[in-house]
Amino acid sequence: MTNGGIFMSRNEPRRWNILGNPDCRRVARFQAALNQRGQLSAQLIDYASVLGGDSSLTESLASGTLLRIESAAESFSTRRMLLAYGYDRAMAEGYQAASPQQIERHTSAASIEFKPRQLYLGFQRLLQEVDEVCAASGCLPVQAPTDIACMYDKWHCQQLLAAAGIAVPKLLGRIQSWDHLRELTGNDGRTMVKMAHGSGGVGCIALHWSHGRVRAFMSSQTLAMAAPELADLSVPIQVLSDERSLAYVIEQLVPEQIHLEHWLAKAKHQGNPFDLRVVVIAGRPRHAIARVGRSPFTNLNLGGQRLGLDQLDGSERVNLWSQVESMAAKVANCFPQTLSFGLDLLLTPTGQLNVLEVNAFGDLLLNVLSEGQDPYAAEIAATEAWIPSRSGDLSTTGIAVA
Amino acid sequence: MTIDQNYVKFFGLPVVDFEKPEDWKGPSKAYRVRVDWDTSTEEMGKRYELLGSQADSDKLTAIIVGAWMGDDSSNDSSTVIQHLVALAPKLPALKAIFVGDITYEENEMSWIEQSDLAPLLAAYPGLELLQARGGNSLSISQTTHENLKSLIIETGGMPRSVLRDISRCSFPNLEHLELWLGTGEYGWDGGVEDLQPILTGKLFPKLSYLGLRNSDAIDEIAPVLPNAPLISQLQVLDLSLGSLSDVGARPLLALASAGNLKKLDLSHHYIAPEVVEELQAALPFEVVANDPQEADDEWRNIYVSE
Repeated sequence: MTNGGIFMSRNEPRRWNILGNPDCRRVARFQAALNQRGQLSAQLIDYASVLGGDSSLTESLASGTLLRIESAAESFSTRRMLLAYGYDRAMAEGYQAASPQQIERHTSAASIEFKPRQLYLGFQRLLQEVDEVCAASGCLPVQAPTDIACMYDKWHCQQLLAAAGIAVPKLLGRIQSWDHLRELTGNDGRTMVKMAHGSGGVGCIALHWSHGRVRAFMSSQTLAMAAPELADLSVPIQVLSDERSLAYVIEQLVPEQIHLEHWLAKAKHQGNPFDLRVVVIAGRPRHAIARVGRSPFTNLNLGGQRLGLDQLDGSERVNLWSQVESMAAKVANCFPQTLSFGLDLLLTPTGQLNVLEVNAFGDLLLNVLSEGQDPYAAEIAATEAWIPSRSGDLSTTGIAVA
Repeated sequence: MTIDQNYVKFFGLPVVDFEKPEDWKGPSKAYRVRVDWDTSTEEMGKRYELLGSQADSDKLTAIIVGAWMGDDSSNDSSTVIQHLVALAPKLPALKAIFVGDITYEENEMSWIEQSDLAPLLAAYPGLELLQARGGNSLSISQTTHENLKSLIIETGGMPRSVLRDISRCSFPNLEHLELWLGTGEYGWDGGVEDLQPILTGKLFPKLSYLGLRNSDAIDEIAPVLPNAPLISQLQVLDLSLGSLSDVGARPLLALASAGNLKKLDLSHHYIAPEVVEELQAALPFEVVANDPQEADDEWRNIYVSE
């Protein structure tokens, strides 16, 4: 069998494809990074075309080429199409899905918080199809579609990491109801609710119980999703201390799949807690920032401030980078067919790293360079050397796998 | 509103968190000792002991007690105060202590359990500033202190017993008395009558700053202030962070004849703009009225009420 796709000379870099949205800045930046290296622009495969049912995916992905999958949900119209794409799967699992007609009518379908489980199921379905097309065509995705699907499911992703012996906040269980949550939390202690498919802190609720009293920290966006009448969008973070309201919020989130984990204390920088966002490329941590917050959430969209790791105070940070390197390598081992991901790491006040989250599209870190390269340039530069290490991969020989 | 940030400066000094010997940066810093909720409270004592054994720690002037409660938010401050008292022989230069630099993430202000602060005053005769946050179980047993210049007590709701305690103490050199009175919902059970001993002006002859801050009863308190004997000795009257409205603000026009006042601070208020203008025009000193709030129907909030 010979390569049915594009023949390349030994020195010529492989051609790239991007599955993405045409007006997405991530796509534009990646294209620019390719051009700056003197490489041809990637062939863009539009999410809308694929989701619309045309055959652009199968026609575009030639053997021996590379595929980069970009974030889909940034685009309002793509999000609506993904919701519709997830309708059957959502109905099949008993979820109160929005029908394609309802999605069309519903203006709130524009919000990222609308039916996250259904959105995920649509994306998961698409990713499976991409996986199949790649396998059939011999195109090499630099992120395994199954890995992306895993990273977009916080419970499964954290379980996978925990099973590999990687430190994560202790997983306490998936929440079936308010009563179930109360059983798990007891009357004292700190726990964190996480929504399986949330992003930007949406669906994260930090719970502090003390002698049966509770305070629940969450973003106002979380409340806007679960109990709009309680949301105050003029502030990033709200605190509920009324148990009945909180119970209502939790019950609203249960269908979106939530789990409970330990709420770990964070190390502080000048009195403010921080965590780390690290871009891992080919198993190495490359670009990193600290996110310093004034609440349990350090997300930049919730008021977190960026800081370089070298700007952090505290002497325990001396060995921080070698700890990050070891952690990045361990997590990358869990996703050997994925070139790059964003890693959110929590440093405890006593200096231990924990993985908070793995972000499939966590490489958009503006104005941070590693060895003179931004994350996109670094990924492109690292790709050729990475391909042979990609386990179970036959296309490195240039022979298509039918 | 909430307190979402630890102090970065205290007593004019940059704040450094102290956990281990490498954190020691010399005596010209304010050191904060605290434990998070995942760390044993026994660490508090060890860290203080370590702090006291640093070279030059006998020159240390300022200490902050951060979150001390560990995994139980109802642990009170008595143990940590004992640690500080035990440390006194090693810290002869200490001039400022803040017990309770605690953010809303670390503990809710109304859940903070304090204890008797008097042992600190007894152990540190050179103390000039004593500050505390959290009103539950707070007390100051009757005591005399010759050098205390500033007493600051921040609460979401101050029990009247604290005002009574302060009235019974003798602080002949007190210049700055700052009380965050809070709301009835979180422990304020006092009234104007509980402030009267302070307002007579007889207790603290050197007082030049009075702060009755973060109070939702400020509309009832403000009208009695112009006639209080204390006012003539004050330079600053601070009624900020509360829920002051026109009702409490208009009587303050009578402060026009109040001798030495240089500044009236009403910031974080619900006063109508024209009343603010009237005050600023009528009063022969600075009137600060920043951060106007918008009343939500009949509901008016103070700065910290959790």
